[in-house]
Amino acid sequence: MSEWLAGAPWMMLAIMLPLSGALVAFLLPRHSALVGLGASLLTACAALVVMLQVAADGRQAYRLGGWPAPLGIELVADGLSVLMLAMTAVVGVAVSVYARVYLADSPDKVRRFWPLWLFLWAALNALFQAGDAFNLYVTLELMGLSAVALVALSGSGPALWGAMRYLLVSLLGSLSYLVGVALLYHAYGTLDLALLSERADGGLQLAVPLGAMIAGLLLKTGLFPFHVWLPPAHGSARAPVSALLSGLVVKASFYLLLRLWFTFTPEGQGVPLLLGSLGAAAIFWGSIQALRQKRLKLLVAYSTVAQLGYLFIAFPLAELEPALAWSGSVYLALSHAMAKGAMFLAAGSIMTQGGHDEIDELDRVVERMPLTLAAFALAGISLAGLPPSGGFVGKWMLLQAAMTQGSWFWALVIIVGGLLTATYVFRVLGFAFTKSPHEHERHDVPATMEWTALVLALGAVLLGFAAPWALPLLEGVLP
Amino acid sequence: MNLLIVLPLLPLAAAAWLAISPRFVPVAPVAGGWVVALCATFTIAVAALVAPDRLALPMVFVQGNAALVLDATARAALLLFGGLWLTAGLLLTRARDEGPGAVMVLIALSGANSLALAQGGSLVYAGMVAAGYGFYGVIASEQGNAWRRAARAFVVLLVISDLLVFELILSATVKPGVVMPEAGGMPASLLVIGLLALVLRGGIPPAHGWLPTLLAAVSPATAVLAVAPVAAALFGTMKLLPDGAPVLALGSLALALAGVAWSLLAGLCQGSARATLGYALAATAALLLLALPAGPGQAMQLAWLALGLLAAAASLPLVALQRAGWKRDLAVAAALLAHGLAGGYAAAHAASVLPAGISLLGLPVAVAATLLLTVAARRSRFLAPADRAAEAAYLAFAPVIFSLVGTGVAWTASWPGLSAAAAAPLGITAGLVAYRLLPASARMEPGDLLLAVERASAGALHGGRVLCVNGLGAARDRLEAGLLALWDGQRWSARVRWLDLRLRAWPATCLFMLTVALAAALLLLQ
Amino acid sequence: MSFNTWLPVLVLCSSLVPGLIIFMLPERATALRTTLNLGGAVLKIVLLVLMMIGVFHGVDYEFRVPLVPGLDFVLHADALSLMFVNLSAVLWLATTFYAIGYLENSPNRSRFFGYFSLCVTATVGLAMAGNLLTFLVFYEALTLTTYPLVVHRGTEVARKAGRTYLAYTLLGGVLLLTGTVWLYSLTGTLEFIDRGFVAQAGVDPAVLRMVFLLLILGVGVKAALLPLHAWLPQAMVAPAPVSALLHAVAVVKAGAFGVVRIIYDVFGIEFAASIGVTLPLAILAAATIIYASLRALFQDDLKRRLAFSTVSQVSYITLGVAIAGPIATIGGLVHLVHQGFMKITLFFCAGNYAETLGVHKVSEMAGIGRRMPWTTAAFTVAALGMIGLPPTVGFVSKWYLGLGALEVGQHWVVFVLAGSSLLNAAYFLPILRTAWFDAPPAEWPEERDYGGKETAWLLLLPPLATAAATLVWGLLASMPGTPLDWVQFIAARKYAP
Repeated sequence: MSEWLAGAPWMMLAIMLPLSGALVAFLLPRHSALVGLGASLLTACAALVVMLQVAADGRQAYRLGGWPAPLGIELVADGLSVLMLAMTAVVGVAVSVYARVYLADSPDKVRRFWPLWLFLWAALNALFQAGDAFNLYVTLELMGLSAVALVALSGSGPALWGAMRYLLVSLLGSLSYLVGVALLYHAYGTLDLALLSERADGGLQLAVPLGAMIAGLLLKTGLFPFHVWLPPAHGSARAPVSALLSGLVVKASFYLLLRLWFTFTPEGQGVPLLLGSLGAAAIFWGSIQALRQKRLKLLVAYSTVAQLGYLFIAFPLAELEPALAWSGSVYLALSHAMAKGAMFLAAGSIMTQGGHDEIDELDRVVERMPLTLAAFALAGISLAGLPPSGGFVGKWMLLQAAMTQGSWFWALVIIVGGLLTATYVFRVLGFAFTKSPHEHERHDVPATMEWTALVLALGAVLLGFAAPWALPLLEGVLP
Repeated sequence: MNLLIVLPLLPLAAAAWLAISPRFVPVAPVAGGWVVALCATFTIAVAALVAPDRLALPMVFVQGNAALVLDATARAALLLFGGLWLTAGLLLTRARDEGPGAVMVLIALSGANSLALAQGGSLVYAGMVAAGYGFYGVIASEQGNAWRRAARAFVVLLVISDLLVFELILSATVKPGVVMPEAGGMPASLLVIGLLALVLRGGIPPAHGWLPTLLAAVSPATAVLAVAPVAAALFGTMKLLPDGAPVLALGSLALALAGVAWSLLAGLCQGSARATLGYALAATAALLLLALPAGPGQAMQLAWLALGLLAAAASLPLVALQRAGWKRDLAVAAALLAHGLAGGYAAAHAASVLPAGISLLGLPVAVAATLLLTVAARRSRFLAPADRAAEAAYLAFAPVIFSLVGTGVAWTASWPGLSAAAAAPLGITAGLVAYRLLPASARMEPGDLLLAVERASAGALHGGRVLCVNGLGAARDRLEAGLLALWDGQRWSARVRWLDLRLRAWPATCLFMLTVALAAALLLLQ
Repeated sequence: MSFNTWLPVLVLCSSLVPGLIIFMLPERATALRTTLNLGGAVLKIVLLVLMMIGVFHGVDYEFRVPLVPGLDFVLHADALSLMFVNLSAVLWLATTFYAIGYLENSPNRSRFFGYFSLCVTATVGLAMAGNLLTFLVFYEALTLTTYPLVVHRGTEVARKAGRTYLAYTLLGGVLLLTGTVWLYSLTGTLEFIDRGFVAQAGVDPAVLRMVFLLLILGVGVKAALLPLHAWLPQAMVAPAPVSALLHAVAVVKAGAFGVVRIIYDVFGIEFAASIGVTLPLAILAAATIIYASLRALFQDDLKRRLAFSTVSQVSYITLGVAIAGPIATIGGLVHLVHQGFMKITLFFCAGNYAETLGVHKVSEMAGIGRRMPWTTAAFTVAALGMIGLPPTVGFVSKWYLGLGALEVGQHWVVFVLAGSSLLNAAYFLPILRTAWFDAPPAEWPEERDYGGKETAWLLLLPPLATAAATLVWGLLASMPGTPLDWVQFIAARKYAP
């Protein structure tokens, strides 16, 4: 039994399980919630098994159908992929549990949500395990399309408009990426990442495709100044959808960028500096916008814009201490996924409770929904980089890299960004404790919704203690 | 249990009992006075009958050198305090409504006893603090508001003096190895600090303004106790400067002369007996300041002289409670004689460390002090109603007896020579003559400069307050508002919104994409 | 993993676990909540007694797990941490009693006591931190757990006060973080060692001065050093038990403790003096002392006056620590404990006046000594301690500070101490006089009836207990077993023999 378990193609299963679950949920609309939940749990198990395998045996590879590269599709799982898979698993399960309760009273949305969400999950898992550039493109497209559909799910005017914009921007980014892929194939004759890393040697034939790919991926990640699609899309989608988008989808294109970077390891300081500067600008712009917002979900969406900037600060810091800087960035990505997921779920609960999400009319919501506010606060703590949380560990590593290199500017950016984040998070908390002069309606919120948000937030905090186990996984991956 | 530790603790226990028990057991208000008298009698008994003793208290305070010691100085101090408090207690038993609260009087007695017995820097400091604040409490527990001015001045001086004493004992601890033979073991600067502390808390001119004002405004019991702070200051300084301060003899002579001259002038221009008594007390304090640099003397005669001088002064408020008659005259005469003899001895004692020619200047100081006391006695009018007069006569003798004891012990312990006896007749005669010339003329407010100092300091404080609150505080608020105004949240928010709208447009996005792609490519090429 | 490893964690959990459970309790479960609170407090004290006996016999209690690559999360019990932990634990017990009495029938008690326990957990963790990283973790945790207590009342004023509080403390947190990371990148270690670890690293003194500045500013926000003290008077909107806890135990003392740790166990006092950073710190502390006392003179609201008094008194600790001499060290460290007891008494009494009679201002306190004699007696003892008069414990701290200053030749410090005592007398003595000797008004602003008693027992006993401690430790200061004794044991190890 255990050999069968060990021998099963878990990497493949991690993709096939959600895919088949999506199909079944589509075919059985009335049971789609149960099917969806079951498929989520199974997929999470598969992803965790893959992680255990990689932790024990190192880098795993799996050829679909036995066809070798460059003809066949090869799935590769190393430390970085596995961390992303685990992140997706945890956030995915939490969002699934939440969504089942959240959408319980709108059956037409339910029967559309589960297939789309499982499809998205399959695309994500495939993306994290893809071994060549074209497969990355395909999974990227699939992921983008399902994400757009999920945004449009709520059916309201702003949601449709946001979804449309997201679609167009996503297509533009994919086009740019495809151009880059085509140029690479033309230059080197292969798309397998391992082979490309051996053959690539710099020059114009590498620079142009790489530039196009980077631009496309930045557009899909939503880095400043390409972020403009993000707040409308994330802010007007339903709460579980926003959690998925901010937590997972934007991480996928960032993961792609990291893969390309580690594959080609370009020299020179120009591009890292460019990316770092855009990241710094994102932090400031996002935080300032978040401070201005009157609605909670828009605030959280702009917070995503800001936090994404942090991920890119690792680029200029990777010169002297690459392992430290990249570990910090990856860790920030992980904890951001959990924290942002928790925040959006909490925002959803608050909106359900009061019928609105105006920040200065929160009217002592902490008394009616203490768990939700606790989730929001803990998530905010992780985002602001206050100890003890995953965000703190990530930020510490980035700061250490900055100090060792003597880069004062980046250290200052990280610190001021943390302060700004804390400002807008605590602004919300302050209003949550204060009585408002107006009366508001009150609905009951199921306990499951509150607890899932809290569990995700606790996950973000506990990540602060998990670094000694998580970071060694990245050893072989980082340059 | 060692009797020495009981002395400070017994009045405290009695005070606690008096404060708490009325809630449970109705206690007649008159009982307070009897309790005070009892505690005071115990004090006197211990002082008179117990053999010399020392109780080391290494756990108390810091340095580990604290001890309670019953030597000659302590005896004199205890007799003085005991006598004063006995009189005050007996007055309280017949006081009805006026007079201090018995609880505060007991607390003050405890403080005074602990000072009398204390040895070792920090314990002496604690005793001085307790005695000073205790007396303030006694004044404050009087009815009405007449005492406020004087009490305020007293407590300000007390606080400053406490700081000086603290500095003194700190510095003395740090430099134990410094030996300057002419200064008797302590550097001159520290001695100056010590004497300055004495001047401020002991009612010595120029820091005497509160004393006449106070005496003019309070009940008889408090007036009797008003001698206590002067005594506490003197005994405390004697314990802190055990070898005297010969190096400062000239300075203290000058100060004493000036002080006594001032008191004389001001005292003669007063209208009431109590005010004149205040100046007499100030002059007596100046006399004791004069005697201090010579040290306590081989037989501790300075302490006994202090007992003699101060107890005599304390008996005068009681004179006003008696009907005119031989008892009254006898009491007054005895008091004045004791005061004069003690004063003369003190001047002679001071002369032992003064250079030969100047030493005679001590005598006028003693004469002036006795002069003022005589004038005060003559100005006392009979004030009490008939039924209280008889008992009050015996009360008047109480402090007089202590005064006689003090002077007697000093004279018999170490004979100073007949020249020291000259001060008494000279002083009394001069006083009688002065009274004839100026029976009572209220030409000056009691407290002379006190009013001017009060006004000046009030003005300075008000100016300071205006400066700090209105001036600096307002400047700080303006600065804060100015800094906050630099950030106009609304305008910046509007600007951000404008920029955001521009960025969201499609042309902007496409332009950015192109730019980033080209930039990335160019940068990668390098 | 032996008992020695787990004991620090158990001490932490003895307030963490009850706190988390209390969050879940419904409002009505008063008895269970009280049991949890008091049970946790007593358990903590029992564990600490065990720990003290162990440390006295030379046992090493340390709990260590890796947190970030290269650095561990360390809980370590040495003599200095035990002093602070004991102070926190004892005063937590007193404040718990007081808070139970004070918040009777108030809304949101479960939330309050939950955060209360978390706050104490953060303080205890901070005390037992074995390196600068762990200290930083608990320092920020303290900010986060005290914020809900400040905004507990839910009014707009409370929200604004909380906003100011956070602005200052988060700023302090990032300064501390920057300094810590910089120091780590320079020296490669952050463990607290007697006499410091910076000297061995051989770094340029100019850089070290910058690092010192960042670290001190970071902890100085909580320690209310000028000009970072402005949050303290504003945080007075919180309920009285919170003010008592914040100002006597948790936040302010944590800042002062941070200064102590940085100077003694990171830089080492002799090294710090040699690079010339202690004198500016001493001057800053002296300026804070005088400025805060001046501000206190002009306050009519009693709690605000006490808040400025706290700012002033905590800088005594900083001053004592910054004067590089063994006796001044004793003075500064022992004042940490003494000021805690005295200030908590004052705040308890202020809370009693507000709760029983509705008296919030000094001008309303005429004759209050007749109505509430025991409370006012406790207030008097603590106020005399603030002025520094024997036989209270304030005299002992002042003595050692003055002696220490004279010993190293810094005479100006004695003037600062004298000036501060004068100002303290100026704003405390009038209160005492009014309270005891003036005539009471015909009617108090908002009197509550306690059936002939002065006030509730739970409100009366804690200030009496802490005032009694103030008197006993002040009078019998040279007895073994007083805080002074323990501090002398600590101070000896911070200097080269």
